[in-house]
Amino acid sequence: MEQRQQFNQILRHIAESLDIPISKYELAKKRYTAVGKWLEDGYYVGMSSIPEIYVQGSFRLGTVVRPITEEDEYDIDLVCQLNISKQNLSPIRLKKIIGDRLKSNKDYARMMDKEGRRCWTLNYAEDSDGVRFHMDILPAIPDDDSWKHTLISKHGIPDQYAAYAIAITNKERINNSYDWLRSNPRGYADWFDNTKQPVYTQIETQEKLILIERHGDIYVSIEDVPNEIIKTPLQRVIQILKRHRDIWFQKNPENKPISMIITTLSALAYDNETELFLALINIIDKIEHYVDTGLIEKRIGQWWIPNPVDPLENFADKWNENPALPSAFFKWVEQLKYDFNNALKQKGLHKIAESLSPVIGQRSVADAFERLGTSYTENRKRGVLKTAVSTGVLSAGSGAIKNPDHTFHGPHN
Amino acid sequence: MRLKIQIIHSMAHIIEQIRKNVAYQISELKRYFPDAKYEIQGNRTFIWKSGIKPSELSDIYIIKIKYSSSEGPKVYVLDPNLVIPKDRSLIHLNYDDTLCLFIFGEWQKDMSIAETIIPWTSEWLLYYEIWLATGKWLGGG
Repeated sequence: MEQRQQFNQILRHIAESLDIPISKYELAKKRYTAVGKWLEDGYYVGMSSIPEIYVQGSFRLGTVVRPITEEDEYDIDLVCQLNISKQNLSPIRLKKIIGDRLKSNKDYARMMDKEGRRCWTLNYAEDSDGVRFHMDILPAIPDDDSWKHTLISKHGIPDQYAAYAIAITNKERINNSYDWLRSNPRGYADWFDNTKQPVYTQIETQEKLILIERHGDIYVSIEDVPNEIIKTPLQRVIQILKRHRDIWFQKNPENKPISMIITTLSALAYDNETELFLALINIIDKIEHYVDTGLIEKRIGQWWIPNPVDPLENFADKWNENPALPSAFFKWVEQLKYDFNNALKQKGLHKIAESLSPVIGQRSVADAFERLGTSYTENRKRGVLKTAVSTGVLSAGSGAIKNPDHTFHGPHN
Repeated sequence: MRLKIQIIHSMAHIIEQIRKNVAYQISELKRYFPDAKYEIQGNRTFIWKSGIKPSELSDIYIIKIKYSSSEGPKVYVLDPNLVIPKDRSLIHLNYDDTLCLFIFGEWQKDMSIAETIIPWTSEWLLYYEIWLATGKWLGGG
């Protein structure tokens, strides 16, 4: 029992070292808020209301993972939703008016990448830490009421999620024609939030207090701390799985499972565990036993991982075009199981670090163990570090012997 | 004659103090670490040996403490063999392979080893493992 508790602590430190640094996060927020404001202030012919701008993807879900190296970048996904119906606007026109609005800002014009299939991309220059951002802006409009109605009545999707269904634009590679695609990032994000809500409510206050203590220069009161940076074990598991995936697939990134699959399967498998280690092991186990758990389906020989808020969207559609993908996925799941069970078997913190370094990243693991060490020293200085009788095990709080403060020294003869 | 008797009384007194001190340390140690091994050598020295595990996931280290009233406590790690860097100050290890757990004055003879040296030894072992993992000594000092 207590070994698992300590492993929990270690996993938590590891997950924290995968976090985007708070200052970087606040910078990202500033940037997408500025882009949002620029888009909001635009004049769009035929529109009576201002666009709705919202973040999607890992920034919205709270599952951002720090890049492994400086060459990698942070990815911000911003939706720019104009409130006009499909009848009154063509996809090519929607794409163009958003693109034009962005280009009319000389800074954004300079930063803009060539047109993407579904989005416009702004490349931000390298920051002082050497890490870049790029921001994908997705033009969108609300989807048809008839489609929303179908989602609700035929597919049993709750109203609150269906209401957010949008249409985004897609530029065909072959003939450069534009069509509409269905999407629902806000509905998905709401669904994800609801999955983690019970545990989130349990941990919110305590976690916010910890953040205030650590980042007193940025957050002064509980109200200052944004909800989306509070991480439940579900989000921590997703971060760990994404990083493990990034490292495991470094040599063949074309086969790596998409984050949507990892996020969706984890959220479906999550059972409100408050212990990170338990959450991790249970989620991996349920994915491994997908035949029994139903997390991944095979329908008439076709792999299916349906979008929880749009059952006609198959996150595993590419698996059916390329059998290397499901094969790589299941090999990866096996590796996950092995790696984390193997780490727990090691005797000695240094051995655990050694076993996790190649699978989570040497820098992240070293960073995690540094913070673990520092936490013991802080506890000693605060007078709460104790030593257990018979074993000598150190902990904050339980143990008969209170460790007096002291100073390591030497060597001397 | 009287001076000789005085000296003999003083020495006896000192020896008695030392014996009491040794007895005190051992009784404290037995209280907290009943399974440890003790070897008393003469009136003023004893050796304490036990396994210590600084954290649940840590290795178990066999520790030997040699206590003499003249030199105080000296702590050795018998097993497993320590990885010793060229610069011993990185892990606060003396040239005689004893652990440097305190600076002068932080430990005094009237302090219970069980409540000072052993908790500090456990900390040393924890920071040693973390030093192996990170290359940094995070225990201060």
